[in-house]
Amino acid sequence: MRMHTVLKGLVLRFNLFSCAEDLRQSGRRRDELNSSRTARADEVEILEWVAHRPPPSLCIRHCPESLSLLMNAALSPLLPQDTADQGTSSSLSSEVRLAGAVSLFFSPIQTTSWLIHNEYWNRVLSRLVNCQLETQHYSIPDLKVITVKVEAPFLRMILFSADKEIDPETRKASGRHSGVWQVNPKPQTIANPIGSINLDVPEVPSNPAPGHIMLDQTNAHQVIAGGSYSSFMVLMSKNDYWHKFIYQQEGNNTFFLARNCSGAIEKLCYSMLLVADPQGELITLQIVLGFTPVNSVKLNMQDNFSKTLQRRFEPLNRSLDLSEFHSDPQLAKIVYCPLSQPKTLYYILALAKKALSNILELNLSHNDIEDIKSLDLFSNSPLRILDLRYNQISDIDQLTSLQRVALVSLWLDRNPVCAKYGSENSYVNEIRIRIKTVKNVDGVVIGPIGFRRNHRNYMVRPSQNELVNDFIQHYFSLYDGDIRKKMQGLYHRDALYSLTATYLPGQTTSSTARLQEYMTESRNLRKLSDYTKSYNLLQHGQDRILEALCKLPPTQHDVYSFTVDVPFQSDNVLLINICGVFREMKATQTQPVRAFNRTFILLRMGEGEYQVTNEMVHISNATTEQNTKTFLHPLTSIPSVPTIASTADRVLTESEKAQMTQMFSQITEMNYQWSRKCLAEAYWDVKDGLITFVELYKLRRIPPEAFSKDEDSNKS
Amino acid sequence: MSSLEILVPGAKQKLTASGTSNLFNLLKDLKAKVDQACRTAEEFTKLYYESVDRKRHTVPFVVRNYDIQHDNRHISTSPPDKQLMSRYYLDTGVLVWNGNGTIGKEMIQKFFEELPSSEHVIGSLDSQPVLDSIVSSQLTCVIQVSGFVRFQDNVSKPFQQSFMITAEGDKWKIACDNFRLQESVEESKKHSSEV
Repeated sequence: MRMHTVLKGLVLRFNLFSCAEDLRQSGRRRDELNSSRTARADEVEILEWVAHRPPPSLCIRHCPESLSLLMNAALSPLLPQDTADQGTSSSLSSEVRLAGAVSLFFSPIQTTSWLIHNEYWNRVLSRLVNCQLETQHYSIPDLKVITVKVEAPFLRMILFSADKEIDPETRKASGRHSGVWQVNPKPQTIANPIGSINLDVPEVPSNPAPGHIMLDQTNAHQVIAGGSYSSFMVLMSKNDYWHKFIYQQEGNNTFFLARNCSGAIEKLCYSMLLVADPQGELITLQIVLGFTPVNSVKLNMQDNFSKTLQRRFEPLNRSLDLSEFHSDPQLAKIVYCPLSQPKTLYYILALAKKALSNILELNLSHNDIEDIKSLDLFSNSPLRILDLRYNQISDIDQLTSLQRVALVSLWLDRNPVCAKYGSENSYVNEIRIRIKTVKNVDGVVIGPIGFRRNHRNYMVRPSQNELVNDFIQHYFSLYDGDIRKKMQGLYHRDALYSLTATYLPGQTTSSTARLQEYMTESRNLRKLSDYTKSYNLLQHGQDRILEALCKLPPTQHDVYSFTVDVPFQSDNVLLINICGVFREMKATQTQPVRAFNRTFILLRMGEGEYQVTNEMVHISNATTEQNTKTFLHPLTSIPSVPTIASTADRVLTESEKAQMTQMFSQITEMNYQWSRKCLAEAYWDVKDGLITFVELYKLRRIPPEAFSKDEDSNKS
Repeated sequence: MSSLEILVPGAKQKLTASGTSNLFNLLKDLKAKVDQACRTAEEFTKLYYESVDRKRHTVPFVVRNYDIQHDNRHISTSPPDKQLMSRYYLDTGVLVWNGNGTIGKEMIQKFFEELPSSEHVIGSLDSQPVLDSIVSSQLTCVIQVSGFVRFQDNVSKPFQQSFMITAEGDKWKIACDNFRLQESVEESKKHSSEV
C-alpha cells in the first residue's frame, strides 16, 4: 500500500473506508476527490497494510475492530517509531486515544472538516458539532464549530471515544500533549450523586432571557482533571462561563459537570485543553462531551440557592450577606457557584430579590467580582448599604450600574480601582458623580459635594503628635482644674494673650447665652474704635495673662470634640489650633456649652520644654448641632487626646536607619553624622527631616561643618 | 499695670528705675508692634476675604470653557483667575482646611480653584505680633478671624480661621492658614464585620 503522506489522501481514504452509506454513495464526493478507486478497494488495501504492522499499543475499546485498527494504522506514520511505548503519547501535538473512531480532522491544507463516521457516531455528532459538509449540514445547539489551530505539519486530532480511563500521570510525563475530547455514546448515570438530591429539574422557559442560567441544554459535559485541585475550580470560573453543578472525586481524578459552556470549551481548545494551576503547573483536562443528559442528573439548584439565601439573610436589619458565596459550606458541597461570574451573580441576585423582601444591606465582599452590572436589579429598591470590598472591580464606571440605586453607604475598599486614585478627594468625587446619594464611602462620612471631608486633626509633621498630645493634655487639665494659677509656667515671660467673643446670630439672649465675662475682655478689632483700648486688652507677660485666665469661669472641656491642627512646625516653634467645646461649670442649674477656638504658638525652651508665646482665644456659644453631638462620653479627667494617632510606630532596624541616613545624606549633601542627627530628630520620618532641613537651610542655621565630607570617620 | 515687671528675654533682673527709659522704649516698641499687627491684620484680611469671595472665579468678556459637569455640581463658566489666591501665600505656605492639609503655593491655588464659591462675613478679628526670638528678624503676626461663611447658597455656617503672616520683602505672605467650620466631626463608622 502506498503510504499516503498527503493528508488529503489520508482523509480521503478514511472517508472512503467509513461505513457511512451516504458517503459511499455520494459519488459527488468521490469525484471531487478525484479518485477512481472504490471504497472497498481502499479498505482492503489498508487492512492488508495494517496486518503487517504492529499497532501502537493504545487502549481500544468499543469500536468496530477494523475501524480502530485503521485508525491506528493511519496514524502510525505520523508517530515516530520510538514512541511506541506503553501508554506514552507522541511528542507530536496530537494525541491518539482510540476507540470509537470518530474524528475531526482539521487539515492545514483544507479548512473544511471531514467526518468519518458510522451511523452511530453520526447521530452523536449531530448533536454536538457544528460543521459543514457540502451536502450535509449539522447544526448543533450551543457548541460552535471547533476551529482549532493546527500546527503544521502535524494534525490536531480530536477524537471521540467512549473510553474514560486516562492516567494523567503518564500523559503528563510524556511531555507536550493535549487534552482529549470524548463523546459518550450512551447516557450515563452519575454514580452516587451527592446526598439524596432527588428533585425535579426546573422548567425551561421558552424564551430564556440573556444572562439567565437556564437548564436548557440537554447535555452535560464532564470535565476531568487529574488529581484533586480545588484551586483549579477557581481558575475555571474566571473568564469562562461554566455553570458547574456537580463536583465529585472519582479515584484520582476530579471531575465536574458543566453545561452552557461552549465559550469555555472553545477557549480550552485553543489552549490544548491545558490549564495552569496557581503553582504554574499544567493540568491536563479531559472533556467528555454529552456525558449525560441533564435530565438524568437530579439536582434542584434553585431550591438550594433559595435555602442558602434564606440562611444568609438577617431579617432584623434586612441585610443579606453574600460574601465568599462560593465557599458557603452548605452550598459548596453541591455546587461551585462563584459570584465573579456575571451570569451567576445575576441569577443569585434575581433570586434574592424575589425571595427576600426589601433588602436594605447587601454584602458582596470577597467574591472576586469584576462586573457588577447585575446590581442594576436593585434600581429603585430599598437597598441602601452596599459592601463591595475585596473584589476585583477595576473600572470606576462599573458604578454606573448603581446610579438608580439610592445608596447611602458604599464600601469599595480593596478593589483595584482604588489604587487608580492618588487623592482621597478625586476618589470620592468619582464615586459621587456616579452615585449621587452616597453619604458614606468606606466608612467615612464624606463632605458635601466640592468639599473635602472634615478631618479631625492635621499635623504638618505627623511624627510629632506626642508633643502636641502632651501639651493639650497638660494645658486643658490645668485649665479645667481647680487652680488655674498653676498654668503660669506654661507661658513665656513675654507671652501675649488675647480673647475675642461673638454671638451667633439668631441665638436667644437667654441668660445662658450671655457671654458677659467674655465680652468684657473681647478684643475684637472690628468693634474697637481705637488702638489704645485694644492694646489694653492684650495681656502681656505671665502675670497679666494668668490674671485674665483666672477671671474666666471654671470650665470642663470635651476632649472628644477637639479638632487639632498643626499647620506650622519648625525645630523650635509650632503653631497649634484647637477647636472644640467646653462647659461652663456655673453654680446654676444649666451649664452652658461654649465653643472655642484657640491658637497657640509654642516656643521650645529646652529639651522637651515648650512655652506658649502667643495665645488667641475665640469664644462663642455652641451651635445646636454641637450641643447634641458633644459631651457624649463620660469624662472624669482629661484623658490623652484620643484622636491624634501616631504614624511613626515602626521600629526601624539599624541597617534600615543606616540606609535612610545614606539616602538622606545624598539628597541633602550633608555628611552622615548630621544626616543621622537630622533624621533622628524627625523621628525617622524622611519627609519631616527634609522639610526641617530645607527650613534650617533657608534660615542659614546649618553650620558649614554639616557639609564637610569626612563621612567615613563619622559613620557610626 | 505690672508692665514694670516685664523682663527683657534673657535678662534675669528687674530693671532699675534708671533703666526705665529703656523700658519705656521697649514698651513703645511693643506697642508699635502691636499696633502694626492690628493695622496689618485689618488690611490683610480685607484683601484676603475679598479675593476669596469675589475674585476666585471671574467672568471674562468672552466666555471660554462652558462646562457643565455631569451632575450639575457647578457650572463653571470660565477658568478662574489663575494667580489670584496663591499670591497671598509663601511658596512653602500651608493651608489646612477643615483638617485637610495642602502644602505649597501651587497646590493651594488648585485647592481654591476646586472650592465652591464662597461668601464670608467677618464677625471678629484679632491679631498679635509674634516675638522676635521666634522668627529672627522677620516681622510676623498671628491673626484670628471668626465669622460666617456661605458656600454656593448652602446654609450659612460659623467658621474660625487663623493665619500666621510674615513679611517677605515688602509684602505680607501667609506662612500658614487654618480654616475650621464650627461643627462636630463625625466619627468614621466601623463596618459591622470589623467590630
